[in-house]
Amino acid sequence: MSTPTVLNNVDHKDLKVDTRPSAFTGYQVNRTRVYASEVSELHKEFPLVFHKDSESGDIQIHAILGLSKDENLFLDDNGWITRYVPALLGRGPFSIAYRESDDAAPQPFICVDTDDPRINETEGEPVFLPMGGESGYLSYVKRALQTIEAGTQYNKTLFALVEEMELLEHVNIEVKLSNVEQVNFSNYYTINQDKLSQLSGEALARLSQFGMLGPLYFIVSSLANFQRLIDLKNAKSSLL
Amino acid sequence: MVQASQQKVTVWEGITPDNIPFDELFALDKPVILKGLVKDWPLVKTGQQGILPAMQMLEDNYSQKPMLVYRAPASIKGRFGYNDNYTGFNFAAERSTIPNVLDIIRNELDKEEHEYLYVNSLILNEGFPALAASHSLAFNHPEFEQNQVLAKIWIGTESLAACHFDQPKNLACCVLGKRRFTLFPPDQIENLYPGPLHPTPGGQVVTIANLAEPDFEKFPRLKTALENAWIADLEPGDGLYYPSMWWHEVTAFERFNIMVNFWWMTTERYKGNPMDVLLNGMMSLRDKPEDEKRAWKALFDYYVFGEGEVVREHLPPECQGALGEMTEINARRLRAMLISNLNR
Repeated sequence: MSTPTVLNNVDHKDLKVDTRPSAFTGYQVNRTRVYASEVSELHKEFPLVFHKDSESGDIQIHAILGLSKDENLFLDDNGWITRYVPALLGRGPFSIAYRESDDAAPQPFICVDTDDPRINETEGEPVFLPMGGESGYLSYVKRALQTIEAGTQYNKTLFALVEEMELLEHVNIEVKLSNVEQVNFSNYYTINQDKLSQLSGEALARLSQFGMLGPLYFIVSSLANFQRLIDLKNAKSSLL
Repeated sequence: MVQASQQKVTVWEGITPDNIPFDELFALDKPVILKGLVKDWPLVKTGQQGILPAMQMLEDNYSQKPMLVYRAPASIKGRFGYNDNYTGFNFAAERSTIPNVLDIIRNELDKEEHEYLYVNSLILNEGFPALAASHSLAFNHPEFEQNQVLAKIWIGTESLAACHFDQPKNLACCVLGKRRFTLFPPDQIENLYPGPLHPTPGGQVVTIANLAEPDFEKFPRLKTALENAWIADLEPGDGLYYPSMWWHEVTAFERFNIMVNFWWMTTERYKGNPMDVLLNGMMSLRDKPEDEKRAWKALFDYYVFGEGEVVREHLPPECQGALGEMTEINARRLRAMLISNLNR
């Protein structure tokens, strides 16, 4: 069970986070929710697709990490083999909460789930420097949390625009891994490139004004990363 | 203009919102009552017809934006402050609306025992945008070219805000209900028994001594403070100017009170907060041996409290660095150095 407590450099002065894959089963997933605010980093390495819940109609962006159940091909024994880690997985056992304040804007602060299996005092990344300053790892976690915060709003805007402009098209991605093995993805959508390129100047201007034009093209081009997944999968199979 | 005894604040008559003599005010560097300064403000005039018309005017001009109200039981007798061990407060801070707050006050107007409510430090333009223009002053002095004036409104039952200081200069205007400012010059700090740095009832350190019923056994130096107190009694329509950093206790006496005040800093945004200098001083200097502290005092006197020119006049400009004039670029360099030095 998750019990978030407010992170501070007194109670948590010796806190370490074991970021190795062996410390956390949550890394063993074949896809993860991602945010428009990180697409410019993600598209260089991960296949990105839209996922639409067939019942609720809710849209998400997913980075595809593996081709079998609980398979994350971007991890090896030492950790991520990618230069960028999706914020939702990179943030570790941390989250943001808000405190009411006298002056208008609520104050954000960081919470830590001290029951998380990655939390300990001996192994992994220190959260605080020896005298209580902020470690490089904590700075990284803060950026990931900010990516998620900003991205939550950013995603809503993106989804509203792609729905309104009817840019989503269903993709049936069939990945042939070998002569015998094949993987199918359903409920997945991508951006219809023809429709995107035929948008009116006005529509393009709107996408650009909201900062969405870049992310849309990045998502389209990210599909090429499926080949990387296949290569990783084949490489792994050949080792077995 | 009469310079009264040290106990009584100077009173200037006949000043209007358009002709505040800021040069003289700043030169005097003391609290000054500007008698009847805002007597013609609509809210002041409406208030003279009674509490209910004033409440009505507030509701009619309310932005509908929720705001924070301090709410406390009858037992606090208007003294908004700490709990017994200064780890929390004797009031609750709640999100509310003006009609809601005014309803509670209105329903208890004729009750001897009643709740205490205080909407304090609400940005006038946020709460009552339609009143901001008609309840302003002419800030036509060079000091305001660089420094933005912030108008705030204070609404509530009887209240007492414990003695504290603020960094901005203040021009407070009593709108409805009598109000008393008990002021102390900044050098009275050690006689005022300041409480914890955190938490504080309103963001600033407050005295933990009761000035109205002084306990001289517990707080003997309070006697000296009270001998150095400046009392400013304000009636609706009166303004009160006092300089930055003066300690002040503020008492509102009536069943319903309104004040509007104007705050402005006299520093550039890119500079640091002097409170951070203090905090770092507590961490780094306070517990050093006496002789070392004296040495540091000499350094502070030279580098910080002395004339800026003295530390640089014997050096060519190209080597002055932090000793040079504190421009935005200079401040940026120092900020980066401080962040990196502190983060360890």
